[in-house]
Amino acid sequence: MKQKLTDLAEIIRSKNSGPYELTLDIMFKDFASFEKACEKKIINEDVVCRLYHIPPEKIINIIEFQPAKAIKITIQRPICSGDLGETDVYGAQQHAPLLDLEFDW
Amino acid sequence: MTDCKFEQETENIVRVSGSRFVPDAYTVKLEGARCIGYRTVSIAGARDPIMIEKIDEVLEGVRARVADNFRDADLHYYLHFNIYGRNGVMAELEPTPTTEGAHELGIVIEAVADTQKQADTICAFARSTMLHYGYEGRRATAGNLAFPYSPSDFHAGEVYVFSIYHVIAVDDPVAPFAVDCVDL
Repeated sequence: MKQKLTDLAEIIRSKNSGPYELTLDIMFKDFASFEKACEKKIINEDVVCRLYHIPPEKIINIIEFQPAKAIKITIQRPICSGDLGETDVYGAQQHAPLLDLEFDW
Repeated sequence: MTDCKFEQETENIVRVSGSRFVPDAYTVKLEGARCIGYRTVSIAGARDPIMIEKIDEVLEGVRARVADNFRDADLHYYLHFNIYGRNGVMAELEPTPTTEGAHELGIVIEAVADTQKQADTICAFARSTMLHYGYEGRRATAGNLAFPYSPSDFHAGEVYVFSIYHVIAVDDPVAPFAVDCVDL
């Protein structure tokens, strides 16, 4: 059956990790969901590339961080923070594509 | 202007004819402006759907926090939020002031105060409060706003408003204006 990420995760957010990288945090409501999500690899390179329209080389890593029940995705920012053409200096509003994510559960 | 005609003569020339001067009482129009303070502005976007849905709660909360923080300061200020994507252009005249269907909002935070420094302070406090405001149901806890620039707040300088806008009837059109001739 189809599951929405927003039903499983309490926190879905983004923020720059340094001026050249953006980290997306998905923090699950409980360990059961977190562990199942990791097992099923619902967050993987293909998903990230599809949601953000980027090639896989732009993904720096996808980490499972158990103490916070979190999956953290870090990607290259399109431009350095503050460069001409900037739209979000701190990268705090780049998480919206994750909110629509659905997968088999 | 009732009998006015506009005829195209060439590509760049129009002949205008038929306008008539209809004399009436002689009047002089007075216009005046005065400086009411200094303005500081901050621009940001919001892309989180819950933030967008709860925008009124956020704006009210920010306004209350600013008022509370500066209640003992001898400070007069004007604090305004323009929400583009909802009613940023038409304000109270907007027939559909809704955020439904909006996937992003443009927010302009504006502070006007007696000095530029005071306006800077109010704008910065409001902007910072809005960036971190914990609205109900928030999931995106890293920040509520997307700023295109750093620093995020701008001086918009002196603010002027109309102070005189008045028509006076005169017998002698020159009389209201003192004329001094000086040999240089």
